[in-house]
Amino acid sequence: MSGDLTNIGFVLDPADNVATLPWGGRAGNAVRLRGTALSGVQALTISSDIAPGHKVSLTDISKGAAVLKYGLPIGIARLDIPAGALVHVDNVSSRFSLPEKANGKVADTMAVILSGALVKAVSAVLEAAGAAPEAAEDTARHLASAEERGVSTHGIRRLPALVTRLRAGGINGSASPLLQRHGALVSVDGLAGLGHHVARLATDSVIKTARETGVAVALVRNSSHFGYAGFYATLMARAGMVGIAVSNGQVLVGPPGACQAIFSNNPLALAAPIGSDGLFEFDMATSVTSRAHIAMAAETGAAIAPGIALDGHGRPTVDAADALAGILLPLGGEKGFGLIAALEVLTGVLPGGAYADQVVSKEAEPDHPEGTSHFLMAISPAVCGSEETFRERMSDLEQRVVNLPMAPGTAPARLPGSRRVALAKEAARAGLPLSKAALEVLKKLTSEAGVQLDLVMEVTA
Amino acid sequence: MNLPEHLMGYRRSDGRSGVRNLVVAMAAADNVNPLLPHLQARCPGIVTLPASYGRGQLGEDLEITLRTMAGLAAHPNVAGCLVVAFERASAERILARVTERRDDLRPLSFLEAGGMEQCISAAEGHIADLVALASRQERVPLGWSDLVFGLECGGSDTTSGLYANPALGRLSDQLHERGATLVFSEPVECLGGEANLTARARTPAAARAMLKAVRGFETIARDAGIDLTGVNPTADNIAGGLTTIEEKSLGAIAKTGTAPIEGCVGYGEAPDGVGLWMMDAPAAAVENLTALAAGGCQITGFVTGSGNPIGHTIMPTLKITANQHTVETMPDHVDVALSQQFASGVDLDESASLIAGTLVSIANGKPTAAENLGYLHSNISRFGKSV
Repeated sequence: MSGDLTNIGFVLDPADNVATLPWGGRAGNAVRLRGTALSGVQALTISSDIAPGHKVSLTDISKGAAVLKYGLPIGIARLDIPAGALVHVDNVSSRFSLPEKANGKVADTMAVILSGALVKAVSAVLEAAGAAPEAAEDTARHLASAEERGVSTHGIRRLPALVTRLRAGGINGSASPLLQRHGALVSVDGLAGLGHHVARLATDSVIKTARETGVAVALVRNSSHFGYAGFYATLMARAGMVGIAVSNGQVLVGPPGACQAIFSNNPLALAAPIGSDGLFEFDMATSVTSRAHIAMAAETGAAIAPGIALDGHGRPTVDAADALAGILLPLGGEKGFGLIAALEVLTGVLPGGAYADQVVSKEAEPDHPEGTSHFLMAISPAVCGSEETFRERMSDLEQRVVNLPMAPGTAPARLPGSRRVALAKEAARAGLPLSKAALEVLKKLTSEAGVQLDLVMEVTA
Repeated sequence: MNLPEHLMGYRRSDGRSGVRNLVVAMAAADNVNPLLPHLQARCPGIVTLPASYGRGQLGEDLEITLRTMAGLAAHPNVAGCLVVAFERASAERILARVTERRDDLRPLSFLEAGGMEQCISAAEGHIADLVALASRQERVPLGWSDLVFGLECGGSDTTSGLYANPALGRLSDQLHERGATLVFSEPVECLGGEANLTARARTPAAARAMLKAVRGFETIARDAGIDLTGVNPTADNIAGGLTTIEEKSLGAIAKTGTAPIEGCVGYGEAPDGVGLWMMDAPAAAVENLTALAAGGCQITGFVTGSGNPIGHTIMPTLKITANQHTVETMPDHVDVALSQQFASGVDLDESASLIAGTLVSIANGKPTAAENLGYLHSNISRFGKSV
């Protein structure tokens, strides 16, 4: 056995930017490197004591860069790591601890982007397609937020259709929505603008109004698809209020037995603050499953579960292609259908805009305004006490749920929203993971628009 | 690397070749296991393969069990196999799954023999025939393309990922170049390293099949309430210096070298051609070795860190470690000790040559550590419940 083994560092591939010290190392000592093709590595001093089996950086690794061992990324630097420093869980994140994972599937992450860079790139793409800067930025922030919060169904994958509709004229990217206040009511004509922009303006307006009146409602007509409803309810909750958001949209759903759809799977979201910085966020669509789910099954030829769709003759089907030509079923059968109809009263009929099957298909007719309507409501807890008391009562509610006795092996019960908040926190810390599909969309659209795309890491293996 | 031109082994009637010349008594189901110790006592030279289950299995679970049993019965290291069953049909449904012709496989029914003593006597007669057949087999020179080599690791630690697995990887590349077939498994250990595997896939279909296998295990774990990417690396791993699941996986994948990957076969299924293959089987060592053996691997190279003594009953299992403590405390369980090489900075290719040397002598007849000690077992994974 050869004498002193401390300070020996193994390098496994010429591309690596870390060395592993199987017998540990001492601060201030030089690493004695072993392994393949080390010609590029200069003399390296260890900056802190290294426990056996731990790693040091061979070069300065900047925040967001890939940490390479075996010539491949083993994670992403969360902080700037100077040469000679310990490289471990305090400054490196796995690609798999990033947001998409907690959706219940392993991330197919091909790249990582910081939220700000994503907003910038998406804004520029939308502006190139004819959107005004403010509308483009609202939309980009919404798409980035969807990615951060694990709602990728409303994230980057929506961008190509938005660009198509902006170009075809179905969305007026430079529209300046009209907002008129009547007491606690804000009436909004979206003028066929970008739904994310129209709804953000309307949300700001109800927050402001509810500060005066205790409760405020925005009735929005002639808008476009506004993304995920929880976004707007959350904006209100962050302002200390109970927020409610409802929308209609592309016609997809019919009652059991129907040969043709009559409603969208109208989303309903309710958000509220918990304690000092927690968030309750309930957000659901009202069909059993999403149309995207069925479209994916149709692409792969997979069967769909029974009880989620009907074919074009009103008959139950498990064939994805037949289901696409037919309708989605509401959740909870007739009760769910009743819930959708009730939401349609609020979001479609009441604002005076398009309702039910008057809403135009954004896919079939990209050059026609959709006419989508929204219902947004803010309630200030000050109405029934104080905001502080309300926040405390929400904390208590959360504790009661979390403390519920559960069957062995079952995770603790939780209020809706906790997962999205955790994902958003992790995304803020470690950047946004991009799936292969999302990366392809971004690369294509940014290159077409001549826009810079700043990735902090891309998997090239 | 100086590899000899030939290994010495046995040609079987199905065209495959083995490195052992075993006569096996296999139980077709658990209800005939009690016969096996009697057969072993009366015919000491044979090996026995008990069944863990075998009654009331259904669907995919039954099919995989039967396929695996057929793979073990007709394994190239086996010169003859007696399949003992309670009723004849249970033995015959196993032998019906042997696809290539083998003239050294025999069914035996307990019911037809008429009880335990009669069955043991009848078994002795068959075994005597099979031993006679086996003794007429001679070692002949085999090419490297006749070799089907399994790659496994267990009880892994820093020394595995940093030295022993990469050394085995260098040998894998050499064997690949010489036309051998290589099979690695434990897709669950690849979670986090998929990008490496898919980049090496020969075809998009191979990439998809591997991803499906890797993610299948994630689903199984999630259904049991465990988030594999959430608990990996474990607290012990992190304390030992492993930072991410990617790092852990890439350390395990290092044993497969750098060759393209042809595809992914099912549990106990034989690869359809030479080259490097993944097998979709759970990581638990005995179950995994059993799957590799049923898939036709004649020898498996098994890297361990903290020490893992198990060998498969009919597939020599070559134990490699670079952990000094394991070498010192369990020397008789180790075939290739690389701890000195690791500490003194010996080049990986040189250590790969050491493994190759041991591989050749074991193929040519030298017993492995596990064979010497008789620390051998076989057990087939379950994929469903019995009714």
